[in-house]
Amino acid sequence: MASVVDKLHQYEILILRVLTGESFAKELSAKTGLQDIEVMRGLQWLSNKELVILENSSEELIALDVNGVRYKENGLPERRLLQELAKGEKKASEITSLEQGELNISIGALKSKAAIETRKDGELILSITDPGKRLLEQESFEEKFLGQTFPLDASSLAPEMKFAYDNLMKRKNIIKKDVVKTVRVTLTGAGKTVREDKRIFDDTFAKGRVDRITQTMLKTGSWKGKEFRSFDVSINVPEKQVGKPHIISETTRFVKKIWLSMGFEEMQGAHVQSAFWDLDALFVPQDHPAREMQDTFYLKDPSESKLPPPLLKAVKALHETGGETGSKGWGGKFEQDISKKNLLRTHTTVLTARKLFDLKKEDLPKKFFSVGKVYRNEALDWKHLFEFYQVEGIVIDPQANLKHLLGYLTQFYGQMGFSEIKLLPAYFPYVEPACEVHGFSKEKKQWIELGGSGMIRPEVSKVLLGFEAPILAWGLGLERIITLNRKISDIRHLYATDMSILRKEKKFFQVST
Amino acid sequence: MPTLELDKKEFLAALGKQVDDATLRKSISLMGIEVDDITASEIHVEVFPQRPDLLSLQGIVRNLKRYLGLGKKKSYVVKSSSYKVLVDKSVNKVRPYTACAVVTGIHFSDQLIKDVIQIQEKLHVTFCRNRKKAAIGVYPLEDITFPIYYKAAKPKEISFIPLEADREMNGLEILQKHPTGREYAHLLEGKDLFPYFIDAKNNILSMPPIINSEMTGRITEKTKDVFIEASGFDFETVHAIVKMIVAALIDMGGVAHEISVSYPDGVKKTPSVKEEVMKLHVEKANAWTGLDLSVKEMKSALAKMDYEVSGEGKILSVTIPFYRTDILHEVDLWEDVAIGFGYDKITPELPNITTVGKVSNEDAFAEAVSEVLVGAGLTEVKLYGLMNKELASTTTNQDTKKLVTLLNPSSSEYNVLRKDLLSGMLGLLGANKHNEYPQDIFEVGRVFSKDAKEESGVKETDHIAVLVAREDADFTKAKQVLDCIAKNLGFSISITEKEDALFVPGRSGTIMLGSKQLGRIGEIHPEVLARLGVEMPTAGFEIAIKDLFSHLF
Repeated sequence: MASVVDKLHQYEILILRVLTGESFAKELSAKTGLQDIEVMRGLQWLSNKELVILENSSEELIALDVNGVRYKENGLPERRLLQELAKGEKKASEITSLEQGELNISIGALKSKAAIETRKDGELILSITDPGKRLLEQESFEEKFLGQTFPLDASSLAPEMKFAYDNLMKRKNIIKKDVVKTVRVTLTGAGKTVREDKRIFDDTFAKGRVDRITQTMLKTGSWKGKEFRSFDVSINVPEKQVGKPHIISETTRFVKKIWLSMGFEEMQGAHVQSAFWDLDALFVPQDHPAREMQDTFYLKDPSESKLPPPLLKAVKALHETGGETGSKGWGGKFEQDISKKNLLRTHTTVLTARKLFDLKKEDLPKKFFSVGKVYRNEALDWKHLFEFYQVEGIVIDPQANLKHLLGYLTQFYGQMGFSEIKLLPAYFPYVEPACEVHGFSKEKKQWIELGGSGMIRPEVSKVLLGFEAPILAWGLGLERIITLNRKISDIRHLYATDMSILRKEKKFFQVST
Repeated sequence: MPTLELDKKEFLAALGKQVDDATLRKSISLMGIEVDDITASEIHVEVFPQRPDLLSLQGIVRNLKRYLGLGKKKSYVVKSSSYKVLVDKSVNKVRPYTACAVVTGIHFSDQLIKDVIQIQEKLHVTFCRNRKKAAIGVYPLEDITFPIYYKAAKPKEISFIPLEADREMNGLEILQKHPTGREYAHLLEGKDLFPYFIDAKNNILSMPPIINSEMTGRITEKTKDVFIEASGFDFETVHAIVKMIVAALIDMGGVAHEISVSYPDGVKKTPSVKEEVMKLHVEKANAWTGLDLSVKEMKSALAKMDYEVSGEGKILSVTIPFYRTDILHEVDLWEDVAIGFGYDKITPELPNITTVGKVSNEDAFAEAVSEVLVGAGLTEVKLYGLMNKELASTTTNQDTKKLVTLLNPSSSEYNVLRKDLLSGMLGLLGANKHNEYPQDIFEVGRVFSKDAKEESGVKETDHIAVLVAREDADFTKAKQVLDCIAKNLGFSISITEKEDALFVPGRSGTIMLGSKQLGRIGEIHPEVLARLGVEMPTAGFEIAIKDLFSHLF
């Protein structure tokens, strides 16, 4: 095991050498020959190792500014003015020892002390008064102030010095105030012990060990025969920014892998659909509440779709009387104007509808999935989004039945960590039976509602596929998978646009059962 | 979904058996009703919309009794009577149909009155589509003199004291001044004639679908006999509603009486408890459910769902309870076979079929591009497809020509579909001024533009866009990232100069793959950045992923 001394960096060693009792950081660069920044780093490391105690304090210091330096040497301009006037009254334009700005300030300052008089005779004429002459013989508070050694501690000014300070601060560039941070360094007990190690004062040890391995060292082999300084490997290092995929993309890929492993083909399609494909073709009654404006987004422009005439006829018959499907239909009148309306797809089942329409009997059995965005006219809040992703799977297999549905669901959700799946009766207009899916989470030790499922109604398959076939279907929200995977209570978090949140997002990972 | 809060004591009394909470929860949900909560005094359930007959305590208990095997199927009888309701042809254009019933001999307790009100309310909201499709009225019979007339008249000529009012109001006043009138005014707005029920003594009973009269419109604990009507636009619908209510009232101990509803073209006797018989093919039911039940087992499963079944062979005759409205096809019976059998007893099975998994090539390609960008240190963002019109146009110096607009946006922040990715991403940078830079981001997503050639009039394409926002961001930085994609995916692009108001003049261009235009690239114009409050140089590009893909493969 490397000892504390082994891990000491050159900076630390050089500092330790000069530390006796109490020191101040600012003195250390001179004593060690290190730069200020190097001293500060060395001290920070020593402090992390608890070899020194650092006490920070800040002090307000008064320093001379550019004019202050000049005045300290040459005297304040008002004194110079008095000195000139002592020789007799003068026109303002004849005064040579002062710059114009200084002259005006000095006239003001001296007049307020009644040290000079002014009169106008074509131009301004200045003369000294008796108090002015007395003033010449004594030092003003301001002069006394400037006479001190700078920098000066601002916290300990005598009252008359405070008065002078206030006056000088009002004038341009004479004095300035600096906040100076001082760091007091005290060796700790451990620090004292370390300092007793002879190696601290050994230059070969201090400077001869290899610190950072450089390219030159490797090229020249200069590291050979040298000792490597030990590092404190338990130390925290600065964060590294990385590029990262969005959690939605990661989860989508995770889900796609599940489908692929189960032999499913991907379905894709348009987000803008007609009410015909999205709802009518799936036997959703035309007066179904979900179609209303407060639930579904309709388009203003372009507002209508073209419809496929032969299918339109069959769907109309299905709704009104059941047509040739053996169903009673919903009754009432089917309106084509409702069918034509463009909407943002309310479910990816619209892709299923289109896929069924394209399939032929000889293609079967087939399995399809989709992961796609759907839209609902919801106000955004912690558990509602107006856009979200739906994950959906269908199996079109002449032999399929309800037991298979449960079989597929058990397999699918097993990959998401659910050890057991159960069904409960539910309702969706286009499936019969319609089932809610509940899964037992081993991790959470409870049953969790996972989504909907069922078997597509024979009426729908008859109209879209052209023949009756059992079709298993199930789906759930992608966001549900993420919220189950991690503790997120506010669903809006998934669509956060704050870069600091995006950068902190953890990778998606799910253990299957 | 409508929720019901049922009184547990009343529920168990009606069930006729003390059942513990766990059994209640399990059997109610297996029967097809979602159980939200069972407390010491209440049972909270959600009823699926295809079963309006379950929207009452009586309806649920009726079915649960059978599901738990407590007793035989109850037979419902309607007595003939001389009650008449005369439908005037004036209602034809406004609200043409009604079905009615009388039920007598109920001891209305406070709880039963609440039950009746709840049935009406729940049916109004769901099956009646907020009274749009149909509306229900229940009246104390003792205040009414038969025959009753169902007519329509000019709004100002219909005058009565509506419920909760202290004076007579005419039809128009009710719509304008009465709280319930205002709530449902839209259902009669613009109609020349309003419908109303009036009795032989010229007392107005109600003006459907708005409100009953104060005089005859309220049942109390003194009420024993009631008159029920439903009115609407389809006879089957209004009849179904009356049947569901009558079934519940009979369950409460009432005796139902038939009414002759006399239409101009003939008389209909309501309510009818005549039950339809549907054929059930045992083999088909077994194939669909995979349950392989014997005829006996299938019959017992159906009995649990309150069906009467006859026959022994391959085809059974199933009598559908008169209160059910959801049996459209034989498949609906197959589902009830499975529910009656019990979803908890279904075992999972995986068929032995082989299919090959496939993902979309374009998506896989987009994923490869994303991987390159992540490797280049960019952070992926996901924005909504819906966005603010100004951000998509004026803010980012783009026109609105091909912008796809929403009819009913939920907020002005999201009123159009995005035509490009860059404008939304610039909006994101505007919201991240306080965060650490560099902010190098990319997005893969769908964009939308009007195109009359498409089926829906909307062309949809998937794009990839990149923005680098950092002190040293410039055209070169953006081009480097683009080159990074090209190099890693093995193709080469060129840029031809093109002015684009989103970008600084002379620092933007069209991204070309051979002669094919793939997208645009440039330094974002400071004017655009200033509008978004971005104080960091920003450059970027956007390409159509499908165009790129189809030219490469």
